[in-house]
Amino acid sequence: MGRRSTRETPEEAESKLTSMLDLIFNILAYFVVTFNPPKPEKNFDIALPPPQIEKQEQQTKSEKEVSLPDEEEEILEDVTIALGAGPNGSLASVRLEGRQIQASQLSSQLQLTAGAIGGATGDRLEAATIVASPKLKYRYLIEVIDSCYKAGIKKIFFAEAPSALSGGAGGGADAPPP
Amino acid sequence: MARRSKVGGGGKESEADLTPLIDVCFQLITFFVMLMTLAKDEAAQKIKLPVAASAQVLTDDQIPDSINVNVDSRGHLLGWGLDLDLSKSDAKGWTEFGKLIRKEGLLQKESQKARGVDWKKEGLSTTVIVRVDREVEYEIFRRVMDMCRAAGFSKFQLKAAEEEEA
Repeated sequence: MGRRSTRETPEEAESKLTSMLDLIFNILAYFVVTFNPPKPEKNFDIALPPPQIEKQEQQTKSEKEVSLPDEEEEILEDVTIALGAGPNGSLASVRLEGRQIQASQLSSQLQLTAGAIGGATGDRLEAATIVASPKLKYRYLIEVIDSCYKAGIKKIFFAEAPSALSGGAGGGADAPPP
Repeated sequence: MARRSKVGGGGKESEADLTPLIDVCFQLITFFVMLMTLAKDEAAQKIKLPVAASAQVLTDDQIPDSINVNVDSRGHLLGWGLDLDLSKSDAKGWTEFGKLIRKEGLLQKESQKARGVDWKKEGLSTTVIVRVDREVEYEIFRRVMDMCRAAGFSKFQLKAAEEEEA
């Protein structure tokens, strides 16, 4: 890339610059054509207590329940959503509190449940525990989390499937969790 | 920066001064090369995220202090310069991941302690950014989450895509 110190005629200098310019434009065209901007990612914020804090909270809660059974306070209500997987890891069944429902109805059913809980006891439905078949694909889990978010439930726990389901590693269809 | 090339001594300017044009072109090329390097890093992970409508898009100032956990479609954990196989429940990768996340948790606890924040009361302030491929099985995801929680992490961000990737 060193430049010659010898004197060049204007025509010579111009011709060298032109070839460099051609190259630059070629490189630029390549990058412009192949440029694929990264797509923005979305996220679900989930805050879960670490196991030791969760144990303490459960102890405190059970102690309160024993000592102050009639005290009116806002208790965080939660629902259990059980997901069953089909043969290829697809979402085969959805059970809300043991009741079989359509996956597309989950959000509206959660809202109804929240309304029922709120109307009956004044508590808030803010948490959901998802129990899914081990073979269920992550995309379906995210769809369910999406439904929970739509219903205003932002505290989501992920529970281990019952042992009968965990053992089914043969790739076959899992029965929905009870 | 720009130099004027004058032809002859009579003050007659050359037909076009190309130097600023070349400067701009080089800057554009640098911009594209840098962007391509970043995009390549993401693509190397080969993680196709699931689509979610109600997830939120974070702005730059909302991105917290975080560590990344990436699981690709084969059930391999990518990160910390490693490729750990988590596809089988008894895979060696789980032991390695357990060690790594516990070590990371201890480091975060020490750092939080040094800042005078009680992690036992407030939990670790570090967020675990979980990027899991849409084809990964629930069991792998759940175990990853459990191990992170056992290491003391309590804040998670599950990543999703805005629209279906090809």
